[in-house]
Amino acid sequence: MIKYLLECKGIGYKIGKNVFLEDINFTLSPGQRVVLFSESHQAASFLLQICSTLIRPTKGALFIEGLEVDYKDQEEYLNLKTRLAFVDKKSTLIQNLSIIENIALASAYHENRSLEEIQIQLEPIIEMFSLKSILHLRPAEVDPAANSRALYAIEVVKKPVVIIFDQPENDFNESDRYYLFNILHTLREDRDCGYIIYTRSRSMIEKWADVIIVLKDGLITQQVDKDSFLLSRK
Amino acid sequence: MLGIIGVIFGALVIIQILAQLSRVGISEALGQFLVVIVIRELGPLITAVIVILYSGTAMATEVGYMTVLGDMRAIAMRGIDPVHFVAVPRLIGTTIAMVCLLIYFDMVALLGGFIVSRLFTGIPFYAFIMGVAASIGASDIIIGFIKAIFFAAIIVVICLYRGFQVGGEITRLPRAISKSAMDCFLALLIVDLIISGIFYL
Repeated sequence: MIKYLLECKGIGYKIGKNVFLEDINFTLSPGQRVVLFSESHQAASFLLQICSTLIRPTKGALFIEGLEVDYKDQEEYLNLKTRLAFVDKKSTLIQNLSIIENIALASAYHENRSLEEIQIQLEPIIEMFSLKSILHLRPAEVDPAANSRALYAIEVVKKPVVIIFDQPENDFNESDRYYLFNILHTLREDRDCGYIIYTRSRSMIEKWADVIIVLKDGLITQQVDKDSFLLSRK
Repeated sequence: MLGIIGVIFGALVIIQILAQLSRVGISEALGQFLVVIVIRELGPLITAVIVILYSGTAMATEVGYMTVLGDMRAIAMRGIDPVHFVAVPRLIGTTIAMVCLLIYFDMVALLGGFIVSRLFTGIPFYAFIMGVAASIGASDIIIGFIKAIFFAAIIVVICLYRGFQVGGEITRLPRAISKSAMDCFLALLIVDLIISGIFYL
């Protein structure tokens, strides 16, 4: 049994002389929901990108499922990404592939299966994200909300162990957000995934958080449970 | 397009050869010269230049745009190596296309050469072909293919490298495209010189 799905040990990040993150330590256990809370320009995006292995910390180490991330071992590094779901403001669909090709790409590539075969298997997820009518369109041909739904569908299809979302409240309207949370709840119950969600929304914290990490000036200033956090912010 | 260029090129070579050979009266060596100039040397080079102009710059543009639009990041987040995903199909496709285009170019260049030869010297088709056949060896064809394969690899590697270098900045794209074309052309000349030096000296 793995104790922590993700562990940041003394993570630091700087570009040139600008220090963005310093001595970041936290863990994510199976089934745990961590909410990262900060004002804007507090380097939360960098921390999320480090947790998703997209960028390499300049200090400290990142552990996923108990193993330190080895950025030099290309095969293991790429394999690791299939166990992480990550959507942030910069996430995009591949523009010259249709929505279904975007969703099925990872399965088609890693498992060498046909698009039709994958599509049948993914039918419930396609339904869940209301993507059926736009499956064969390209990202540029559908509205931004549908693009966002497809982005989240891609990450859910990967069957990840760690799910990292950057301000999902901005990508969905109220009803779609409700569906997304239902899906996340199902994933949590079925697979014991861990979540790191960066948000500034109080309602998201009320509905979703187990632990809140407050980030300020590149440092973790507070790491508390939901009730204590909400009480302190009343 | 390649057919027209090939015919014109073959015709131009023959015109120049005829202009020189008519002075010394050895028009029967036409085929030999055509083989030496077109099949051995300029055929692979001209074909490669056309591939650079037509496909190489398009490849650099496409990959450059993909990096700007975040496609590479999206590919990597699916656990796929973007370089492998983008490069392998293009390398295979360009190599096959390059070999096929070389065969096509050589054939239409010979046709263009024959048309001009026929017009100016009245040489029969059979005699022209026999002259070419007598001059051409299996090594000429094999070396042509070797050049085509090397040239295709050079074009793909350089164009993709320049495309990947665009990073997230769209303003780097035009420079990457022109640099990819210039780098490819220079690399082709160097590799052509090396291969010809190894096999023909």
